[in-house]
Amino acid sequence: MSAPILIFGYGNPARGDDALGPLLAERAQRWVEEQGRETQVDVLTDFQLSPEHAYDLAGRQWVIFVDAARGQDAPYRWINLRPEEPCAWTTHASSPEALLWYCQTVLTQPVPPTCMLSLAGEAFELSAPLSPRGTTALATGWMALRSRLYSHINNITQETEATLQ
Amino acid sequence: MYEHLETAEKTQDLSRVVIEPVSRVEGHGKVTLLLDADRRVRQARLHIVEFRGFERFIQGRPFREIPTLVQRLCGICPVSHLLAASKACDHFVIGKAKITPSAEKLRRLLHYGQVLQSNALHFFHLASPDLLFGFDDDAAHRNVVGVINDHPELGLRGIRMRKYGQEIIRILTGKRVHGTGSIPGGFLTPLSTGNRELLLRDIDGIIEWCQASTALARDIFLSNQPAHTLFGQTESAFMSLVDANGAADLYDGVLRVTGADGRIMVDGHQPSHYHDLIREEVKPWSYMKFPYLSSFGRQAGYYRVGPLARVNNSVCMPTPRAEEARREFAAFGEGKPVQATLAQHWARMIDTLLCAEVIRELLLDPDIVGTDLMTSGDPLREGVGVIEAPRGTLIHHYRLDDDDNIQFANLIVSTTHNNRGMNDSVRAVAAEYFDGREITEGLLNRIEVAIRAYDPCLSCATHALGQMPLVIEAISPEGQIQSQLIRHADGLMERSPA
Repeated sequence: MSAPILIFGYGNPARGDDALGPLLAERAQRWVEEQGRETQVDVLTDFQLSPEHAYDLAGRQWVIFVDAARGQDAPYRWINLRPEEPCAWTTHASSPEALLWYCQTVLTQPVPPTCMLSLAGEAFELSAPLSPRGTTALATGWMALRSRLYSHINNITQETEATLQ
Repeated sequence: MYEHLETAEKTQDLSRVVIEPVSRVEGHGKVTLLLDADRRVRQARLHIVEFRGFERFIQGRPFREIPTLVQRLCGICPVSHLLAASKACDHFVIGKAKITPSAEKLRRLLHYGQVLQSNALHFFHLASPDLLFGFDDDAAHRNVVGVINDHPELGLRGIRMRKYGQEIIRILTGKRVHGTGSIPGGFLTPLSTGNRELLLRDIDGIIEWCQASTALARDIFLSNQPAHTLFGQTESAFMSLVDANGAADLYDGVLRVTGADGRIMVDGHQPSHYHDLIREEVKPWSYMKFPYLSSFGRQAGYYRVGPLARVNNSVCMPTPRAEEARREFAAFGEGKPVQATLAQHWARMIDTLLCAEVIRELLLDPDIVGTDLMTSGDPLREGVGVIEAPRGTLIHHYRLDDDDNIQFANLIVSTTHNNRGMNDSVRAVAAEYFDGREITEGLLNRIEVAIRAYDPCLSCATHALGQMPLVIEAISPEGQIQSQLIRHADGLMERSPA
């Protein structure tokens, strides 16, 4: 049984700030275990997104992708995502918007509210450590995510209680 | 066949066309064409910006970390690197001893699951738009969206095959990525009977889909003859692993090379002695090396790897449906290896069918749920691991220092083996389609179709992927841009002067 909330961090942990997505997901996983929220929040990571990840989105109430971004001024940004046709000239990798499109079009499943937590990075070479900018983005991004998680979990709990009454 | 187009004379008199990057290809690829005053192609080259930092990434690390670490080299087929490194590092734990039967079968299951899902992604999402709709179809329709809109069942089949292969990886390694199932000396965790039943539940359907997909790939290839045979034509030998009986084996065995005339050039070659077989040539215009069979020289020693090599090289497939498909394929070659660049898609689906059938056999084997997963032996200080990755033969070679850290590392990836083949195919297409014509999207796409047939992967899971536009410039001998064609990341085309 899938949890209603999915956090999906992606990137290559060996490529400097590309690790921001997986590292934040790791941090979120620890929080989920410490807080005993396993039935409410699933956490996944991968190098990159592929079409079959659409299955992971189906049936969720809220999905948060976490990824590193070049050229972003703010340490983190929230971006709402909607289904978009896969890019005509894509590589092996898919975008989160394309996954929503696969979910809706190929799996014929309703698309959950989905957002991207975009973390500012600047160094992406193999073996590179997290940059100072990436380290800041990781810390502030986690605080922002945790705050939203509390809020969403409270909403879900209130909705469930209202349904039971 | 088109070697004369590798290096032109008097290049200062030629116009230049640059295709950069090559779309739906992992990593950074660039094609340059030099045209003379009559717009005839005089030189064609595929430049692949290969990152040669792998060895430095590995050197100095404890060998027990290596199988997990090398998965980070590639976001496309991390399991291939995991298993090639595990095989190489087995020598540091058990020397020449064999890992236990259960451990080997679990590694095989993991490997065939990975090849199945990788091949499915390539065929359904990258190659099928060109194959189903033709190279001249509207670019706005000739993509995966077009496939899913026109053939929804095909799109769903591709995703489900991917999902199944990923499920094998998740179950056996504990994670979808960076799992630790395979370790030096054996395998970490047994397969539970519950998980075996879970995987068995869907495998018959997967086999049916693979068989149908093989027939589809065959029918598409045969539907437009001789054009599909002549497209991107090159003639090479083929190298792959085979078992002791000459049957295809993706996990282990000996190296075989079959010549273009169908005769076996090399057989029973121990993978650990790969350096006696292969030499890597450096060319000043390319970062990526050009391997060849050293004892046959650069020309006669030209070979390719991958699904086409695996099907051409095998005297049989070890499973019935794949063997039936191989016979049909071999019949098309009329006693010689099939050379057609586009036949790689047909071969890739035979390869996929083989994977699905082997997965079923492995799941039904009692050893697959065995718990004797580690063995011991007399450790060595040097190890070579060779495996047939989705795109072809993958070689990992390591030596240890006195502290059991990696002192020397050498990796030869499938895309490097196929560097010459891809260049030859690009030259053939350039000579056939570009000579004297205006540059159009359809012509550019033909170049890309030839490269995509090899499914090259440059292990770059970086954010640069897919974000750069494709730019083609025709530059006069004086260095002036005569015309420019840009395909933006969203697929929109822009020509200047308009």
